[in-house]
Amino acid sequence: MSDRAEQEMARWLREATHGLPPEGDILARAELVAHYQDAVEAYRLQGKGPDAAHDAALSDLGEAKTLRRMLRRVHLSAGARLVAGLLETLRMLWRKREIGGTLLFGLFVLGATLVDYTHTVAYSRHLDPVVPVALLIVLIGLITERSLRPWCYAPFGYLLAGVWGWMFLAGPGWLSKLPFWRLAGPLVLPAVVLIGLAILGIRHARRSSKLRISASAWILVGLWLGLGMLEPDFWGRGALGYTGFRTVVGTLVYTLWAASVSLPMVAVGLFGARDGGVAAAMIPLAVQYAGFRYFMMPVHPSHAYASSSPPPLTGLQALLMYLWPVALFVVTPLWVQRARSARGRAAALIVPAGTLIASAVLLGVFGQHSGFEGLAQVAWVKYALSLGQSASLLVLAIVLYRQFEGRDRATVVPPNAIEGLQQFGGA
Amino acid sequence: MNVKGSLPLLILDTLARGASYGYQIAKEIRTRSGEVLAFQEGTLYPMLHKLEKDGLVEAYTATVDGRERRYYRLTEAGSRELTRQRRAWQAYAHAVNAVLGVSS
Repeated sequence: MSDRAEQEMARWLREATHGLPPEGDILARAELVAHYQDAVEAYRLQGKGPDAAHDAALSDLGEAKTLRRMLRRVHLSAGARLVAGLLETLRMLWRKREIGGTLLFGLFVLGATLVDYTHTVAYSRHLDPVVPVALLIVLIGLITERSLRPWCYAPFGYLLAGVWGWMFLAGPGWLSKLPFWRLAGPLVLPAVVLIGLAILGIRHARRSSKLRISASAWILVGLWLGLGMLEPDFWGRGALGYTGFRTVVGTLVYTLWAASVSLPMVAVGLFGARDGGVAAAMIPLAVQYAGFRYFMMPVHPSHAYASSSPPPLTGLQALLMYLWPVALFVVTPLWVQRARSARGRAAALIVPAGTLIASAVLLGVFGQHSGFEGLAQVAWVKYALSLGQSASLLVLAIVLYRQFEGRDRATVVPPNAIEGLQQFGGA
Repeated sequence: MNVKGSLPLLILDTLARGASYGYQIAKEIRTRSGEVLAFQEGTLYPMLHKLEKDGLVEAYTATVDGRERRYYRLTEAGSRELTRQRRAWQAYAHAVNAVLGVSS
């Protein structure tokens, strides 16, 4: 038997008998191996080559998953089957933790939002409950994997979205009084971020073309920055006078600064994409979500909320808020996992979030969306710009995913995979 | 053609002709049906284990040509169950044929 055949059969056996009690496991393995050996022998006698005989014999045995379900029904009690099913789900989530981690985080965000829809926690000088959990997930990831693995990307994006705002908007009072932070801050941060990105970009450009970030991704980052600066408020008639001009220049710098606080998350997504594929796309999505939450409740996720006390959400607004984490962190990863084609994966990324963005705009038009300083009263141009900015992050997520599909852990056969087969002497 | 629902009947019927083991049972069903009845052969084993648990077949180990195999044979209860299932199948086939206008 060739190495490939041996490994495939061992993997099939392990999958088919996983979770069975020892006596059932030994019995089923012995019979399945004997059946496989008989079938290979018969196919060899018909003139098939060793690999073709192996393929045919394995195909005759059928799907390991179906067999496992049937074997469990015979050898396990209903309770034991339930436990085995739960363990199986956990195992699947761990094996696909790029998806599973995001999913669990999304469920937690959903729970936290549902519990606090009246803002009783969020506006009582309490920290957003999502922040400590996100921090815990990232810490566990760093400790167990010794690097920031893709399954931590969503909580990491969420944390980053808050930390940057906290550092520069709601830092200690004495910090904001310093002239440096009031004047130089808006200039220093964009400069540091842009220079950092440029250095990283140059380093990547020197590597192989496969690792290079596509031009379209960079254009989208530019779009993200630029659209924020096209706000009609900056370019009104008042801008023609001296005072107006000063306001425009000052606001432009400030807007550049505001947009650049989001850039590090996008940058992490860009550079993490080499490893994580879809998981890297979760960083812009997490930022998107954090941004939306800020939009709905004008306080940043990582703040001890106290700056303002907006009225509780209306039923429709609350529904919209609940749908965001569901769409971004639950529907999207599950859909991505089930998608069979690049088109399907792209749809998984764009449809849930795109629908919600459109619904937010529609709600604003009908005056149901309180939004940032009452979006219901602002011009449609502003809607279009906000929509464009949000969409640029989404499209960036898609570009990242299409370019970097990530590594498929399932194709890696662990070295002990052939143990099961060797136990019965092999073919 | 999928034989999922009727596999226990086919297994019992095959064992009524003599003790046999998994691979041989699968081969027998395939050959006797003119290669028409197809099923995932691995699923024979949970089915055999279930029949054994229900007391319809009993298993014993025998070494043939240097290979240890698990043979199954029909019990008394298994024979009665086979008769019952055969009758049920004939009634079912007769009814379907009547609807389709095919003579049985």
